[in-house]
Amino acid sequence: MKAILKRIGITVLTLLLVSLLAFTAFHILPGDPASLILGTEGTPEQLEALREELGVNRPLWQQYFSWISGLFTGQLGNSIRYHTPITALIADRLPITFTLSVLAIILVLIISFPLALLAARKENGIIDKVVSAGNILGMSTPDFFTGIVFIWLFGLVLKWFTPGKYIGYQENIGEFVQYLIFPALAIAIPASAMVTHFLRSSLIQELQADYVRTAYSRGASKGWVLTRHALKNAMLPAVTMLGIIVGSVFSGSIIIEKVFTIPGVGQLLISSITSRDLPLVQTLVVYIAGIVVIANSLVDIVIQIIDPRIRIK
Amino acid sequence: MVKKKDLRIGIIIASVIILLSIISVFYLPYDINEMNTQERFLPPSFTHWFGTDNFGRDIFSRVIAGAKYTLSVAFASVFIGVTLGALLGLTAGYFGGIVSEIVMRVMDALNSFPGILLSLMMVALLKNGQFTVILALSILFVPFFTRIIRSGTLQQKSRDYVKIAQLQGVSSFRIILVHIFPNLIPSLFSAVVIGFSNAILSEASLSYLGLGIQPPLPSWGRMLSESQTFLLNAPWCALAPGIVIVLTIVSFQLIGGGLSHEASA
Repeated sequence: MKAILKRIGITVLTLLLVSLLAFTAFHILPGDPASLILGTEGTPEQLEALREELGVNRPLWQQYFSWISGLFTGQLGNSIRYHTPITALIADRLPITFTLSVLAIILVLIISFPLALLAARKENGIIDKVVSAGNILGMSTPDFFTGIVFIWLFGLVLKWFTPGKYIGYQENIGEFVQYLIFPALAIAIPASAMVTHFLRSSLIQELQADYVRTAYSRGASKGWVLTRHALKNAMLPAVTMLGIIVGSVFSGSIIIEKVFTIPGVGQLLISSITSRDLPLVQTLVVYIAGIVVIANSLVDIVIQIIDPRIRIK
Repeated sequence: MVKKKDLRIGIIIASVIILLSIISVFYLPYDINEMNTQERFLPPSFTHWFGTDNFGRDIFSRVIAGAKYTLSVAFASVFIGVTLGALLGLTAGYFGGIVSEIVMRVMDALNSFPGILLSLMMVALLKNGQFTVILALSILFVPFFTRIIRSGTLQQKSRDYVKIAQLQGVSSFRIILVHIFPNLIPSLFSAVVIGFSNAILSEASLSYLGLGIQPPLPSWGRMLSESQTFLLNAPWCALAPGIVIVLTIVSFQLIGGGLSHEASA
């Protein structure tokens, strides 16, 4: 219990630091956001009005606190480019990115567990070597290139789906999920390679343990030992990776949304960067990092509950 | 055994790519910006190894011309990352205490920005350009190298040679720089190579998003995003730069993996 409280404490501290980093990054710049937005055409009156609207003429600490409380209450003001409330913009797109990420994480589990088990069955065997080579390739292929190959191969050549024909979840939830399968797969491949690689080595390590020898001596088969005994123990270190996976899946979706023209949070982030919509960028960055930080500590806490041997440092 | 072979394959592929990118400075088969409407969308052949694009430009020439920008951006950002990481890691590791605590907390916070999010933030803040890309990528590596160098410093600090130097009254600055740091260099090799392959991947991602190396300089990531509109008619426009990106990253991954195996063996 004490360890869990400590973990929560660290999480809150990290979140605070993250928000502080993002805030200072956007405010230490020489130059003033109002003139950046208006360009050279702005009259002094327009500049003053915009500064008032953005709240940038107040002291920095006041701006920070009003922004932080806005992150919780949703009162973050309007986007410069869309002229609509920032919170509404994000809320519209969040379910899309969320579904994409969850699909990708499910795919990571479906792909990596069987592959790791197959590879660990015979160390340095032919399957193990093929899986290892696949891992290096998977980790080295940028997800956006995988996405483009999928669009070309499955979309244009085999016509399994229509590229660019995204269907909103409000219209048809089934077709919405269907369109997200290939993007999710493109995101899942590098993450699966990572998990497979890790789970395989921890399985092989477990197979050296005494309890495995005991199980064999009682006549258990290799498959039985792997799935019933070794996997349970090998899984825990692999579960600690789940936090990293969440991060990689989230950042993967930022790019993949552009590849498959999915109007999610990632697309919003990229378009806000290109249009220099700094308040929107700042908020998106902190929300995305915040989700990853919270996911990470949830994973840690769950592991702590499952296996108290693992101490949170 | 297997790792030795990995290392060799990695070095061969990486050498070919580096050699081609050096050659591209002096000689290119075709002018990379010359448009030729008669030769649009030619598939790969002996005259155009990787085919031509929507402006009739030779893709092979553009790919090898783009290599030097990607490689130099990756090199510069890893170099800055290692330098800052060494500075912070050595200080935090050697002096410990509150300095170390603050440095490591900030590094943890930086690390909790997933993937290229931090780079995207930097790009949003600064003007587009090669220097921004280098800065934006190097910030990804600072926490990575700080952590490695700090833990190495902690190990070295308790060694006798450091204690003797301390007793002889050698300044902390000199102990860190002349005594401890050289001992950390071998363990840094594989981390640097892995970092380099990550830098190539991240640069390609930024360029794909249109936020990396800016036109008219050719860049692998942008070639991919531009090729997406004519993917059905000319898939080679996407496949050629994409496969070269993958080969480059694979080669450095193999070298990095092989080196870390050598170091631990």
